[in-house]
Amino acid sequence: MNNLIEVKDLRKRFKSTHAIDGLTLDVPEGSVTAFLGPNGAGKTTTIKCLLNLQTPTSGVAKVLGTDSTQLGPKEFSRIGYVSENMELPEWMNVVELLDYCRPMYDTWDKDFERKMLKEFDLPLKTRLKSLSRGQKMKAALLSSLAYRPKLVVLDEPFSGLDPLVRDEFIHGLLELTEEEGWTVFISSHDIDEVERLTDRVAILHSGRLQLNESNDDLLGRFRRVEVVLPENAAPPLSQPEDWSGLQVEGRMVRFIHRHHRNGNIAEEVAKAYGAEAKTSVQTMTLREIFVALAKTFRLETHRNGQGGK
Amino acid sequence: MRLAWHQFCKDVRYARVLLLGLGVLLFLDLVQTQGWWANRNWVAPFDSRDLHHFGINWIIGALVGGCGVMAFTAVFRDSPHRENSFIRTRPMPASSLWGGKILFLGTFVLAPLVLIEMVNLTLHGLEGKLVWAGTWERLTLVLPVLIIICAVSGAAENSKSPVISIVVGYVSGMIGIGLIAIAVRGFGLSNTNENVDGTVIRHALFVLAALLVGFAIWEIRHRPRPWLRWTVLGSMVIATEWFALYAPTNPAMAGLAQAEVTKLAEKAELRLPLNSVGLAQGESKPGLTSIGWTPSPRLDHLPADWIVRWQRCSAELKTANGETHHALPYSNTPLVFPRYYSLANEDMRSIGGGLPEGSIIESQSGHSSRRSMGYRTFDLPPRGQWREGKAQLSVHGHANVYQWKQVADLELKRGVAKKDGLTQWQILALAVKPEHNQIQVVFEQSGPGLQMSADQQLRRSGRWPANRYEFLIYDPVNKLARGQEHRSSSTGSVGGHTAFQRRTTILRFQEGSLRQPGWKSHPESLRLLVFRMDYLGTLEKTLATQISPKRHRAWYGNQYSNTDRISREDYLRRLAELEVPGENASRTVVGNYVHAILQLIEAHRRHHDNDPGVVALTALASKYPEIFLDGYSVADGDSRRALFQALRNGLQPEQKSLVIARLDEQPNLADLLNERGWQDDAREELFGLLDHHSSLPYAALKSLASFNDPKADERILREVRETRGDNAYQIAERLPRLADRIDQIVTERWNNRSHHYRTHGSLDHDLALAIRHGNPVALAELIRLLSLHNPQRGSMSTTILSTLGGRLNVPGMDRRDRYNTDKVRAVLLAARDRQFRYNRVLKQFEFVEANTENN
Repeated sequence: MNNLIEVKDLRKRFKSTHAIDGLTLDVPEGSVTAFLGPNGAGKTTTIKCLLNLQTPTSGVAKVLGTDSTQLGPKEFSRIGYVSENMELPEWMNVVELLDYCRPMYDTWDKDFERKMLKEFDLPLKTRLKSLSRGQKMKAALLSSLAYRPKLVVLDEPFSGLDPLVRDEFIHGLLELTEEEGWTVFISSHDIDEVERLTDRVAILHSGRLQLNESNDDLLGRFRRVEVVLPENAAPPLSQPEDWSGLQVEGRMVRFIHRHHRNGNIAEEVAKAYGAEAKTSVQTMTLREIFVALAKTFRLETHRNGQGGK
Repeated sequence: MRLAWHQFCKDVRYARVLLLGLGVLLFLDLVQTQGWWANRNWVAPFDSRDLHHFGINWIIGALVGGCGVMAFTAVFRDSPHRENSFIRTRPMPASSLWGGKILFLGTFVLAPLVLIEMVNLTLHGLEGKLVWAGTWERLTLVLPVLIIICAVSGAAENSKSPVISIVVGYVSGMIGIGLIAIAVRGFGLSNTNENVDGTVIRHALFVLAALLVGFAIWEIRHRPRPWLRWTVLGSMVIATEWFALYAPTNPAMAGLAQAEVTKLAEKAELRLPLNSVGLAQGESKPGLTSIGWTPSPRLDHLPADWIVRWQRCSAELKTANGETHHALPYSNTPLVFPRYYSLANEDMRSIGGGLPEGSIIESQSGHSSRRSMGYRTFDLPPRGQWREGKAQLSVHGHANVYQWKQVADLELKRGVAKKDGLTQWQILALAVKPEHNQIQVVFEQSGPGLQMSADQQLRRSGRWPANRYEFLIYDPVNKLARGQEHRSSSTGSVGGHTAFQRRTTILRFQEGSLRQPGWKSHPESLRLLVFRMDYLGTLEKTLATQISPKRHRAWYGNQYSNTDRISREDYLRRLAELEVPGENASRTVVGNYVHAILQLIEAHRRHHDNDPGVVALTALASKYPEIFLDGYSVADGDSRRALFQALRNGLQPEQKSLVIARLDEQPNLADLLNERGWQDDAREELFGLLDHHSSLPYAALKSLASFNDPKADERILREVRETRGDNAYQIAERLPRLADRIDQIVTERWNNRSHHYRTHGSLDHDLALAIRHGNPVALAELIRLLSLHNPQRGSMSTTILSTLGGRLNVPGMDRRDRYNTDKVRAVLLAARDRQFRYNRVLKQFEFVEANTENN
């Protein structure tokens, strides 16, 4: 499988701030990758570097096999980009916007455009500046998808949308993605929504990539574990490396197991607390995994900071 | 190309409102410069006084501003420097994007400006090459804007500060202008202050500006210290501002000028009139001490749109025995440049107006208001070190590509001044300036001559000199001869002697009743009248040779006029000495004879119908009526009265048609009709005056009043209501049928005096009219004004007092004193606490008590 996005040791520095710090990332063709991270993690900067809207300080980013700094009309005709901050020509209405964009693309599919117009239910003769935020995003998405791009890059597309519009938006995008088999790279911190769309997840923290794997792998290896210790049993002083977020409340011990394999959790618990310990293992949602990881990363960052001192 | 066109169409849709606004501005510009009031057909020579009113007008400013907005609108809507730009992530090639932008700017900014400029200049009658040159002038105003836009877009790509972006863009734009200027013209950028030093300085400034830019870029990139950055940028702005304003004003024009002048130098005839040679009367030992001339090159073949400036002029004097004396060379800024070179100081309307070919153009500068090179003198060596005899004065003039030499033969003599008798006058330029409401004539004496100054001669001899001139412009349309003379700055004495220099006479059309020059042939019909001011002088030969008697002007009385009068015996003797024209004498001979008689009459100042002078004139009136009618139109004072008497007594009944035919041009001739009782024959023409003249003289109104016609009465009343003079009132107050209407009109004018005061800045006319009509309140107002002791008001009040003449009847006041303004003023001030009433029977103001006593 080809990677449509390949990033290697990408760095972007604004004066003393490292917005991206050695990012290495691959986005396989046909995947829908969620690019997650807390505010200030460097998601938008990464996307701008990918699309040649900003020049990286160092490192290499290739999009569609082309160095991002060399992206030109040929590549952009196969990239669909929608950003929450994108400044649309708001003096146009939807029809004018599409009329303006259409001649730029040889692959523009008018039938597909009509189909999306119908699905998005946009007012055609109203100027963009008079549309709601959700409608503007739909219009932008429409102008970025009607030419059937090979790569769709979405930067915080759900920001500011109400739940209904968000649901419609995601539903439409989900359908199209499934039908067209696009490669989608979507940046968001709205994990619940992204989970429905994506099959891969990349998590960024402080400009560094913390993980990048498929949803199935991620959901498959993370488990929430609850252990009820026998009476008079003392909690262990140390914990295995795969455990994180250990919490002890009386005889109840909770933790996240990051590398679940069939049967291995029960063995590890028995080894740590004895065979009498009762173990309960639960699957986790992407959101729970993200929150757990974010806490861990923050703790590690704090710990590293102290160590540094 | 397809996408460029697509982009263009999108920008057109977006900027359609702005485009409409720009179109309106361009239309206004065209209307302003080419509208009917621009009067492009009239010659409009450069007048330094106009400089004060010139400048880039607001429309041009708005145009440039509009173009800037347009450019910003077109370019920044899709600015590539914005990292989140919609257009940056679209497959729009940069070539197509900028192609569309350039197409847009070219179509809607450059093309209209170029077009309108070319239309303007073409309509001004300029040839193709100059049209393009002028068009380029306008483009140089627009190109900077475009350059700035592009520079901002490029320079600000990585900048987050819009201020820095603008400054950097601005500076880049200015440097761009400089580069364009250099590309077109080279480093020898011309300016109105161009000279060798200026070129060097400008060159150095450019290098300095380039260094500053380089330094600034380096600073910003490598040592981004804010205070230093702003300091450098500020310096750059100031330097480039200066550079842009003064250095490359119009390099293309300068280049064109250079080429044009080089070509024209071969056929241009440059003449240097030696206007005068001064012979000084030394204090202790008479002798020639200096030679003066007015260096004014005459460019007979130079196009109308070029202004000549002198560079250097040197002179040497070679005497017959081989002595050579050199004058100290003096220099002036050298330039020959098109008149619209200094666009910043001239209105666009002056472009192409130009002087007629062959006109003498005095030294003028785009920035200076000097009109003359000044009177140049050649100081001879100390007295005694030169010899009498023939000599040759050579004057060398230099300009960029011109060199010319003027040689004059002189005869050097020690002793008193000598007059060579050359008295030929030549009109050098004639300009109709409707915007200034005036006609201007520049003329000079056309040859070297020795002329002693009037003042000097007066001091020496105690008598008025034999020659003193007065210059008038005769306008046949308005039938008036007036002139306000402006001597050129070259006027001055050389060792106590004054030569005739170039003079300028201006005829102003200030009265609303005068017809302003409105067609091209009007100037051609104007005549310059030159008069000698001595009381025995003869009429000077004029250019138009139309004989006219001397016109006495009261305001010259205290300065130049002779206040003596010749005796009766002398008058009769001189009159008898005049040679009476023969039967077949030419018009000129008759004219000179007539004028000689008029001069004597004016000198004698007392004449009557049986006066020998008037009798002599009367004898000729019937034979040469046109000379007398012409003269009557411009004469006044004793001459006018004498001419009137001659016409009244001399014209035959069959010649009344001549008078009636001229009535439309000279409504004053109605007086002659009245005197001879011919007004009924001229009824149709007299009523025709109502349609052709906004204001009529007293005689014409009097004739019309005699017809007892409602139309004539309405006209008289209208003039009473609207005009500031009292001719109409004098007629109307004698017509009982109009008494009520007159009362009403005078009351209205008096009640509305505050409005008139705001409109005309004076209420004197309303006040005078009300007083004449017997309004005691107005008289009280006059007394109040008199008591203010305001010199200005006092002067005006004196004028009003004269209108009161004879209408004040105060006990103890002598009848003759009623016409003495000083005594009337004293009486009124003494009676400021008294009340007056108006006796309508006697038409006099009286004290209320006195009136009671009388009754």
